[in-house]
Parts: sequence; C-alpha cells; structure tokens
Amino acid sequence: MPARSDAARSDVARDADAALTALYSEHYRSLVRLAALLLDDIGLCEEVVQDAYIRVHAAWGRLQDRDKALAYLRQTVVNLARSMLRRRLVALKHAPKPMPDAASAEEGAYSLVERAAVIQALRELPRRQREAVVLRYYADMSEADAAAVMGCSVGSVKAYTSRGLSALSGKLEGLR
Amino acid sequence: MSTLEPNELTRLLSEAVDPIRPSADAYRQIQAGIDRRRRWRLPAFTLGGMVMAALIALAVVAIRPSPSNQLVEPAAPPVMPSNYTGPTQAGAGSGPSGSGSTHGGGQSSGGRGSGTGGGTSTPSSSPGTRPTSPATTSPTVSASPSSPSSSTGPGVNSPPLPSPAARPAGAGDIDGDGRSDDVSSDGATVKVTFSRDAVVARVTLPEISVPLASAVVDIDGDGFGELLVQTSDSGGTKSYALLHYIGLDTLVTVALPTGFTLSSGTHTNTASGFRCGDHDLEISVGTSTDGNAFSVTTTALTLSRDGLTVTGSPATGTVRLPSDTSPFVPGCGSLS
Repeated sequence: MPARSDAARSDVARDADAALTALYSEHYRSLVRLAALLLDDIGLCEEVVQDAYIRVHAAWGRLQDRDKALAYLRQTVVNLARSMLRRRLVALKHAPKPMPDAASAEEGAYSLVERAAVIQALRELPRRQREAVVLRYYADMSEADAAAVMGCSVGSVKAYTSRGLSALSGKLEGLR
Repeated sequence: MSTLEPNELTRLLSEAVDPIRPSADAYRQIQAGIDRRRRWRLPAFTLGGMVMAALIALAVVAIRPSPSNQLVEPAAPPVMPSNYTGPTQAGAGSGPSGSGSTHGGGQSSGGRGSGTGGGTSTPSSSPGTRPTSPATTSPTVSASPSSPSSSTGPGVNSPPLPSPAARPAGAGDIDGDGRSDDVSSDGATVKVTFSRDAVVARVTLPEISVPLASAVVDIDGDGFGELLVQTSDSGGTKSYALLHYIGLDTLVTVALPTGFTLSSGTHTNTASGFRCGDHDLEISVGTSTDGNAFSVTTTALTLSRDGLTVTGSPATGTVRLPSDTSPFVPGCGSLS
C-alpha cells in the first residue's frame, strides 16, 4: 500500500511539472501583465505571478478540475495582488521607502508602463473597480468568471465595471 | 463627456502593458521556488507537529488540576471501644478469652494498642479524647486473636459497614443481612454470632445479668440493629449497656453523655427509664417526694458513630404511679 501511494504521488508530481511548464509557456506573460494592471508597483508583478505558479503547483494534487488550472492561476494572482497591496499599505505606513537601485532592463520597460496615462487613471480607481475593469476588459473574462475570481456576485461585477468605466472615461477624456 | 468604449479600453490597457517582458530566468525562479517548498515541507511539517504536541501537552498540564490543590479530608475515626481487638471467626481456635477482660489499665496511650499473647490488645481507655462523655461503665471489648486488624488500635482501619438488607433492621438483625443474629453471654462477655459470616464478636462488660436479658432494636434506623443488654439488677433498678454495630463484625459499647445512665426502675423517690423513639432514644428521669407523684424530665438522644448525643431541650412532666403509664421501664424492644 505505501508503494502504491508513493507511485501515485510521483505521478501527481510529474503531472504537475508538465502542467506547470505548459501553463508557463502559454500564460506567464499575460498573467504578468494582468498583475501589472492590478498592482501599484509594477516591479512586484513577476514576483506575484511566480508565487502563484508555485502555489498552484503545490496544490496540484488537490485541484478538483485540472482543466481549470488557468482559472485557479488567475484567481491566485488576483488574491496575491490583493495581499501585496495590503502589505504595501502597511509597509508604507510604517517604513520609509528605500532609495531605488540602478535601473535594470525590465525596470526600463516598467517605467514606460508607469508613464501610461491609462495606468495612472487605473490606479486612482478603488481596488474592486480596478479588478472588475481589468478582468473584464483586459483578461476578457465573462461577468460570471470575473465574479468567481473576485469572490462577489455577478451584479456586483456589473456595478463595479460600470462605475470603473465611467471613472476612467472622465480621467482619459483628454487623451482621446 | 463621452463614455469610454470597452474595445477602446481593452486596446489602451493592452498597449499600456505591452512593453512588459518577462524576465529570462522566470521559469528557473519558479522551479527554485518549487524545490525550496519541497525541501522545507518535511521539516516544516515536523516542526508543526512538534509545536502542536507541545501546545497540547501545555494545555493538558494547564487544565489538569494540581494535586496540591486537592483538599483531602481525613475520614473521621469511628467510635471504637477503649480496648478493641477485632472479631473472631466462629470455630477458629479461640484465644485466651479472658485476656481482654482487663479494662482501663493498659499502658499504651490510647491510639494504637500493641498486640499481646493471642492478639488481644489492652490499650488504655481515653475518655477525655471523646467528644462525648464515656459510658457510665467502662466496658471492654475483645474478639478473636486471628483478625489481622487486631494489631491496629481503636478508630483506625475499622472495617467498613456492609450494605443493610432493610431499613430499619429486621427483628434480631444486628449485621444488617436481614437475618437474626445469635446473642449469648459467657460470664461478663456478650457473644454475638453474626449470621452474615458466622463471625463471633465478643464484648466484655463490667457485668451481665444472668440469665441474659437482651433486645435488638434499630434505634437510628440505619438498617443495623443495636443490642441492648441488661447488665445488673439491684435495688429495683436495672442497668443496661447499648452495643452499636459500627463495621463489619464490629460491635462497640455506646457512650452516654455525662449525667445520663441507661437504667430503668424505681428506687425510693428516684426513678429512671428509657424508650426508643423515632430514630432517637428518650431517657426519662423522675423524682418524687411521696413515691407516687414523679416529676419527670425526658431527654432525647440521637445515636451516631460518636455515641449518644443530646438533641433538643428536655421535656418535663408529671406522672402519678401506679395510675399512669410508667415511663420508668426499658421501652426498647422486648428483652429476652
């Protein structure tokens, strides 16, 4: 019995490794961009997404429907982004921000993103509205999927999306 | 203000994040994270298990009351005669039956008597240590030498009371087994053969009337009969001793409060008597000037392991003899 259990465990591990590789090659970039839209600090987006991949890999044996691995991954990214925002809020309250190191190549790209007007406008939205807008219009998720990821009702998603869209329209009017 | 179209917003968002390129070693970092997690999983689980075990142990220690906080009250020592040595088995080799007849002359100081000869012990009587005064007579109880508890002194390690068959006890039933027990005398010694286990208990009194006059009556209603024994008959007054069953095969003489005697009869202008009431013993003492009209004082006494104790206040009355019913008789059972 223990031998069979060990074999089953190794099968799950191999399956998880293969799935992780496939998910990485297909969705890593889009998930990093999704995280960039959700986070205040774009430099942390890769960290969040990598942590999400590690967590989904660890929980691979417990996933009820492995075909929905991308949905789990997206939800983990959203949850981790929320946690990161909360931690950053606390850190900002209690610690001075350190001086930035020398800029890397990625940070150069990040600075481009930081300067985008839509990003600036997005960051001024409340967190829920920002999540609804990003999930609906960037991740191209249905209202039901967005509600599942956000952990709220479809009606709430509709309301958040509508309010977020109106707010962004006002902020971006001058650019159009 | 024109509303932002969803398609336009999608385009703007995509263009905004388009410059983002994943780092080259992202996959390697994910793999390193997975390996790190695997590496730490076993120690983390082990540490977590140890912490949980420690917390459970601490909770158990905290919840369990400390033994030092438990108050253990010592059991009250039962009333035992001044020189008790324990019961004897019927038919077993009886020891020197007269060895325990000496009373009040022991040298040991009451607590624990030392066995002598056939196992009888003669510790000195210590009436001052009793909460109630001792009986007017200082009887001696002796029993067979074979009892292992005979080496212990009175009041210590007395055998427990068995469960009575009925409350109050039936006729002649002293040991509470529902059957009558055999009472006999040998000189100044009362012998009771218990029907429960055929053990013979011996209680030595100062004297015993011949022929033996005794009665078994359950005064306190505990299911074990008390044995009333007539000890003397002189000058119209009969004296009695009351024996109490306090443990398995163990009888002791009941001590009376100071000033009370267990007697009945009329002698010139004084008279006394007693009767068994409802769970108590009522002792009546009468005085007269003409030998007919008696002023009677009746006191109720309650029987416990410590002896007889006065309860309530005495009642007084007048009795004219011989026209009224005389209270100066032994009114507990029928002496035979």
